[in-house]
Amino acid sequence: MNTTVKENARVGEKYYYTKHRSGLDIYLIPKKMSSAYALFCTRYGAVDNCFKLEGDAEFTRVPDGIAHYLEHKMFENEDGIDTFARFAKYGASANAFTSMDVTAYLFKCTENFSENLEILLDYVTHPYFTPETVEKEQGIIAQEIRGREDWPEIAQYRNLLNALYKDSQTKLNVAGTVESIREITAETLYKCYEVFYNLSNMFLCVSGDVTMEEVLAVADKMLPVKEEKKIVRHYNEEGKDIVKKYVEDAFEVAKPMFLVGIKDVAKCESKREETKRGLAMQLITETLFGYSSEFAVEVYESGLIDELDAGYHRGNTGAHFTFGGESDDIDAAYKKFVDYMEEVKANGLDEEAFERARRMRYASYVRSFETTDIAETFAMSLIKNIDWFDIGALMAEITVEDANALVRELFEEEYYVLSVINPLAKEEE
Amino acid sequence: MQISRKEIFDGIALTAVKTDKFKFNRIFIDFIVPLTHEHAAENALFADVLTRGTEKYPGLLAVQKKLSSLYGADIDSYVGTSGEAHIITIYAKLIKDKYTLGGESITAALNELLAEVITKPQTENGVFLSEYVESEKEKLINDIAAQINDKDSFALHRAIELMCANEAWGVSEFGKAEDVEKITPASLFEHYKYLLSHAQIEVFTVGEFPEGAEEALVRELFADTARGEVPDYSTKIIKTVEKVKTIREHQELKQGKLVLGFRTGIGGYEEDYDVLRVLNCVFGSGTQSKLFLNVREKLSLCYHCSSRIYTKGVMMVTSGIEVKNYEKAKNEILFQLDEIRNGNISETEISSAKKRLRNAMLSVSDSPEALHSWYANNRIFGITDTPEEIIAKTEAVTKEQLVAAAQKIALDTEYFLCGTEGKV
Repeated sequence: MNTTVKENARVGEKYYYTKHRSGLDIYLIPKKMSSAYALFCTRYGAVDNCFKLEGDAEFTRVPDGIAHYLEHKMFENEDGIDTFARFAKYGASANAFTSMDVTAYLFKCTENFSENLEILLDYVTHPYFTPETVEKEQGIIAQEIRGREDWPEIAQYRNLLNALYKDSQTKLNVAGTVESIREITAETLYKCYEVFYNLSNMFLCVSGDVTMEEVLAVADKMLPVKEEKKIVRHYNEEGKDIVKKYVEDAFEVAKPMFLVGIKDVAKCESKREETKRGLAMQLITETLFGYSSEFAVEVYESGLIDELDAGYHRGNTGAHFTFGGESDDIDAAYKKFVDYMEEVKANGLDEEAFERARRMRYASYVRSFETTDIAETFAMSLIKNIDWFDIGALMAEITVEDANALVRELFEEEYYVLSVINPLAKEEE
Repeated sequence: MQISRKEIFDGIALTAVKTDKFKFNRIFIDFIVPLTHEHAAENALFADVLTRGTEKYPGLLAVQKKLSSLYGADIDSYVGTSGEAHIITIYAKLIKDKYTLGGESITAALNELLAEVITKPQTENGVFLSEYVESEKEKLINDIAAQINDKDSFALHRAIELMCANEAWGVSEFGKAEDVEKITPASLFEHYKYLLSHAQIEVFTVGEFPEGAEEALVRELFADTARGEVPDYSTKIIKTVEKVKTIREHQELKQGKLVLGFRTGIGGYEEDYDVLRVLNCVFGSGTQSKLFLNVREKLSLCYHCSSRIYTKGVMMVTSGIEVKNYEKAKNEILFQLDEIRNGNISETEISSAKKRLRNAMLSVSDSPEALHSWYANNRIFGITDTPEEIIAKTEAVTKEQLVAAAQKIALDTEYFLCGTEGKV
């Protein structure tokens, strides 16, 4: 096994990479900090609901929310000892999360790194559940889902995705619904596990005061060498057309909330081009809507829009830009946004503002390396097949012309979707 | 990492953490005053007005443009409480010179801007600009109303407000909308002057600054300020409960938000607070705790159920549950506390709790924000221990001490926020 090293001298950081004989990709970002952070990830998330192994005749379609359900059940062990209890013995704080494209198992610790890593590699490679234990989890996950349903921002975002996307799995709810999780059985959980928890579909990412030798010693001991499996995923095609122009909902909130969404369905020639497109959108967002933009200052001072927030989200099945906030006059806020984008399309971005935005984004890139949380940033970037260490240099390559062209391509009013949360009318006592 | 604290002026001290661990340098300026109904709104508002414009950088756009030219440096503020002390923090955060793209030096420019913001606000007729004050009042009133948007946090704060209705701790750090309404540019300016001269001011820096730069900044900020007496911001600890309050309120909700408020009787001033830190981990903080293992894992009643202790001598338990499971969940939480009172605590539970604390304490030095909050919040209660010193104290805690502490804990308030189906 060969270990390679990659350095980013500008930010003063480096990482080591080894392809372990088990097929697992291992990354280590050394940092002299008290706390170490390790994430064991599989390239498997909510969007992977239709798949087969290479050579299989038929695709398998599984209930929504199953990747997340499986994550919960991985904490159970055959000997009956809960995984959390095993970590507690060494004082590590352990957790896991599932998103659209990834399931990650993680711990943070200040001592006994190797012992904790051993537990992590062990429990994630040893599934154990029975129909009874699967059943028992329903109540817990149902409350997780219900709790999220009480968040107006989440409802607003979910409504937006459902109005933006016709077919793409991008619109799926990570945890599924209270109804869909009832269809999940131990058998389907095992099936998903066998397909997606193959070490060649996984990677380990570590940051801390740790050496590659320490990590490899544990990997050698714990990881079985198994045959590589080639996964075929079926992602639904998504075109430019939207489902609905306007969606609304009502909650007990103080002020009306709104979120505008615009889908980006363009296909990029290469991963590098796709990465640059995402970075260009970040620079555009910062230039046009950042704290120091004239637009943000104007709507703040006039009080038209509070809690202004804009961003670009890219996953493996879809990408979209969002712009939102709170406003007592949603029509005026929406019009303000539409007119502003038309003006920017006509006149182009302010070059000075664009350069300031580039420096701001660069500074927050540097900041991402401050703590061992870089392990997570790095891992989430790997899921999209992007090397986080290249981001700073790629950001420098984007020109204002690139950005202007992108603005003109993406911002067409007929494809905008507006999602609104209205305050519930107060009931008379 | 080197930490030193020095009193520079009367009631104005500098704590400097020298470390090369981080990519950014940070400066926190804490204004500490008692939390009171009368002044909470003014305390919450003044810093927002300061960041709207200065003599040299009039207007928000000028301030923000200057910040963005400094690699998106931050100067901002937030308010919080520690016990019954109200803390208004103005902070600055800036990339270190050695990481700028051209190696240019920007540190001095940020310090200058920070000094401007704090000491040279834009004024008219000797007071704050009425335009800024009115606009920030409206935003603060909005923020106060918007607390209802986050249901879990709303339920917790509402429970605290009801539980401590007659205590300073029940006052919201943002004040009340009707008190914000009453503020005028003149009254706010007067309050700002009062804070400069009377608040306990703790400046906290983390990073690599040129030798003596931190102290020079503090001197520049406050040299012209005449200092008066700092008001008493100590916390009153209530030790007993006369009658349990039971309150149920309703909103349109999918899940019920349960909050149980307890009096521990042990405030941040007391030695036994370290016993409480361990007890809290045994009872309800973390995945090794009794609440997680029983209310969630064993009974599948919830996704989250946890406890938190406060230096006020209070412990709060929160959970999100189905409305019909209210009694079941509440009884299980109370039963688990009884288990501790009865000494049903295993050695593993105690050692796991201590290891969890140890891990948390050892992690403090990895985050500038955690360092600031550790030293700032503890100092209010006269605790000057380092995280390592607290580890030693918590590791010495015995089962008998846990049982004795648990026996002093008394339920004070049961609060349930739920949908209309839960109306009784």
